[in-house]
Amino acid sequence: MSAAGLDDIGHKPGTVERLLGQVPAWLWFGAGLFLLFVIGGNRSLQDADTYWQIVVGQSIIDHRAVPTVDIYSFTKTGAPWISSSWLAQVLYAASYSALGWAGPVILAGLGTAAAFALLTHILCRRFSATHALIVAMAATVLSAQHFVARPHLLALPVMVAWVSGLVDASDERRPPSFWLLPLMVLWTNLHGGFVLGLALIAPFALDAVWNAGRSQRVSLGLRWVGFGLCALVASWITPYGWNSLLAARRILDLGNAMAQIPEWQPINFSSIGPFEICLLAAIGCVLWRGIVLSPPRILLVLGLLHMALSHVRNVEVLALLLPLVLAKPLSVKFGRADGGPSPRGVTSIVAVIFATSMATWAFAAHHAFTPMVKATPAAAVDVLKARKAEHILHNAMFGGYLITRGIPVFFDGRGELYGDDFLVTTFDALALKNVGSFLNLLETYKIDATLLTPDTPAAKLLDRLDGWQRIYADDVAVVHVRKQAESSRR
Amino acid sequence: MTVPQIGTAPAQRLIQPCVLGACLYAGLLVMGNRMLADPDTYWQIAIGRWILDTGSFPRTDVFSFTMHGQPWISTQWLAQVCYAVAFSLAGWAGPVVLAAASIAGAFALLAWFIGRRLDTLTALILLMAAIAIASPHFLVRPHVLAMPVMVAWVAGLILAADRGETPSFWLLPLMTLWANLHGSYVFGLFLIGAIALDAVLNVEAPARVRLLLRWFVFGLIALAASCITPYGFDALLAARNILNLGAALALITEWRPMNFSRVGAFEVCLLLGLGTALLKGLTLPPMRIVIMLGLLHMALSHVRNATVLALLLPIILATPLAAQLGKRSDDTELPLGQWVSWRQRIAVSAAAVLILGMTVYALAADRYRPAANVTPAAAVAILKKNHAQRVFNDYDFGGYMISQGMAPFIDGRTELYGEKFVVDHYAAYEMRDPAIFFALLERYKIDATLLRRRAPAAQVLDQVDGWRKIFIDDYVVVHVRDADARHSVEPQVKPEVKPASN
Repeated sequence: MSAAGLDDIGHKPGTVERLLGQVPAWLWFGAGLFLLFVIGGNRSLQDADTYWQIVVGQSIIDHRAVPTVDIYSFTKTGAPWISSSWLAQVLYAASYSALGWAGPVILAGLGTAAAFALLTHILCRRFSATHALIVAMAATVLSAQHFVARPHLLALPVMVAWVSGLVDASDERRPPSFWLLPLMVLWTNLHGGFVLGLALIAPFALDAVWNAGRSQRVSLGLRWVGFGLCALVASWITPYGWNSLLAARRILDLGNAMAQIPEWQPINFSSIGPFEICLLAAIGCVLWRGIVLSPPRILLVLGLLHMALSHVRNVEVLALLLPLVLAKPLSVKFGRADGGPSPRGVTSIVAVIFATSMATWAFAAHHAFTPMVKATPAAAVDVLKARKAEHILHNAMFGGYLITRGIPVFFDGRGELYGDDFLVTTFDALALKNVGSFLNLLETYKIDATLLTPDTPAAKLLDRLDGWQRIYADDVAVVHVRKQAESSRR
Repeated sequence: MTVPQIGTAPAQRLIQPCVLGACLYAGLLVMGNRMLADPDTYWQIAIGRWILDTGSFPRTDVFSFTMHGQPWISTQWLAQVCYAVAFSLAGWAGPVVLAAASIAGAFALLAWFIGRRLDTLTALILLMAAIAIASPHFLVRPHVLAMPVMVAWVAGLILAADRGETPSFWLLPLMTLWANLHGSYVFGLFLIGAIALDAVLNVEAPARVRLLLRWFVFGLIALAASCITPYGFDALLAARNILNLGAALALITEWRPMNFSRVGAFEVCLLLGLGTALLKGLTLPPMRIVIMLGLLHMALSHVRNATVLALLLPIILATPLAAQLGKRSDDTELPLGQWVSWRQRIAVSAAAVLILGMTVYALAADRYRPAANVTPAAAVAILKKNHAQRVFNDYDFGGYMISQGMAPFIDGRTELYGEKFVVDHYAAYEMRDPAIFFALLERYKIDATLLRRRAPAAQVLDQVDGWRKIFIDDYVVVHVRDADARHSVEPQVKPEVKPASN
């Protein structure tokens, strides 16, 4: 793709060859990943949350103010809610209003490609380009299932840069540079994952102190503590102050509801997948070559592994951070022999970037992205609007689209707003794990219409329920409303 | 390898296994009711009883009303007969004592095998980890009777591989025993191939082909030995039926993949094991790594295989780890005749007293009962009084119904019912699709239902005309068909069976 682009701008083949040799591996990888991401852009637009993220961002742009209460649902309207990923939402909204659906795809692709290119770049400092690329590809495959246009992708490069800064400091037995702090400020406004960045300071501090000489330990430890405190303060530089930090905790409090939200579920080993292959290969490699790590690094490895095993969304954290954590210890055994600098030709870098941009522009101009096929019940919502339904019970995945249509939602992807009990009750009701609580929901919230996926058990029960009738169905959604006579009798 | 030095003081090395086995046995008997928490125990004993009474082996199903007469063989017949005999001799204490003795025997054997190779502390840590991982699967079912056989079989193979020899032909009766006890013997056959490769890599190049050939012959004879069952070769094919269940396997708890949503014994052991390997820089021979990853994959994909991992991994790791973590210290100061020092004598007699005392207590006290949530006794009595013939039941109640001579709709013999039937039953029971539920009620002319109190299907039946709730307690609810009954909960649900409406 990029090579073709080079030909387009008119270099002679001999020059091309020379220039290509000067393109660093990280740029190849980043540009390739970015192009793949954009070409497969529809995959990144299949998450219903993208809808409401953009709506929230647009409302922040329009009102020049960040939200403090919920205005989108009819179940929790007016309840306190803050949007800790406000900056990412603003960026997505701006890119959407500028370029349509190509905007969020390109933005998310840039974030992702930057993170993995940065990873490749850092690995290339210690390993041969081949080894670095293999690791970066494995990391990409592991994370690919979570490549959806949402704030976390914009925070990925920040996370890699931040942890790389901590690892370097720890490897060199010095406190981290204070130039990292602006990264924390950026991260805390982009995505709630910054809490992990704060938490990781402690194990790296432990690692640095563990490896330091006896005489330096106290002073080094104190300087890491100082850095940690500064980072904590930096994480309060948001429109919400330290409330962002508290809000992150509310998501982790979701406990039981998390078990039913796919990305918070534990890793599933029912069929063999990339994660299991990488895990088994890594264990095999460790036992074959006899790899030794220092105890603090072992703790980090096990901690990251535990996070990934217990919540599938943390797999990308493992995939991006484990190579950083292991780079120095492994480079002793597997590092490259020559310490030479990686190729660096400004002309060729510019050429590759230019070619990638041209290819993206050409693709985006001729390709219409189709967002959220399964989460866009457009025709069904038209029917509901015509019936002037006010209180609609629906699957969580339809919440995002309903918000874009200006219809108050029952609930949506903002789990921390609705709370554990509400989510579990609603999930159990819609899945008919508890028929009684489904019937209760219909009455308590004075539901006058439902918008459910065709395979939702509750939708199939409504077909048979006295007082309800199905008025619309397609592949995406089924609409039921109360029968007129019945509702007037009540 | 270092094998020739092993066994200088065998008697000394019997103490640790004896004490561990006795303690595990006592512990299992103390918590014996936990081992009876499984609904399958009921039908396992019932089939054993049936074999004893009729003097023949089942070839078709005679217990359910939905699959009556369908081909079905009981590959675990010997274990079922053992449990049935134990039950008729001593009531529920019989099967509990039998299962506890078998589990304790398996772990004592494991302790003896790795105790001869590893130092006491490492061996003890491995054993504790193995017990922690395997304990959820300590149930009164055929697989626990196969545990000591499995340990002995794999230990025999590994011993031969460590020495670069062919396995002893004395192992073959074990295979025959295993094939009659439990379907897991298929895995024992597979392991011959993997361990043969390990053995071949252990010897010098010229001897490899010869050794591989001899292992191959051993494998063939073992395959023949595994066919010495009442069903011959069919038993091997039946094992395949279970693995073909596909989507239905995901619905059975023990066939589900390993779940890491809460920190459990398996995750702790996995992380600690990985941590130790990284701390000490442990290495393994290539084939041992392959076997280990295979066991790990099995345990990750089906939680029931964690028990296999727990029992076999220590055997596979013992010799390679011994070279790196420190061998068992030489106790040559205790020659064979002199082992009767007072400490050992006390330890062994204490173990014997413990075993004897616990057995007598267990048999005399008669305090074992299967768990109440798999024993719907009052409900089944009412169903019998109502002359219910065709009862739509919860998967977990099928065992008790069989034990009471009542034909179930479904029970734990999943391979008999097949993938579609089990998935449909689940969809009906859990109200994934009400249409399937009402269709099953019609197609099988169900006249009563025996469901868990909170079951979605039971809640919906309250809203349907034509079904009357006649019994409810803490666990169970019974509905019977009754044309005059009106729905007791609003709003009404229409049970018409019609072509799928969407």
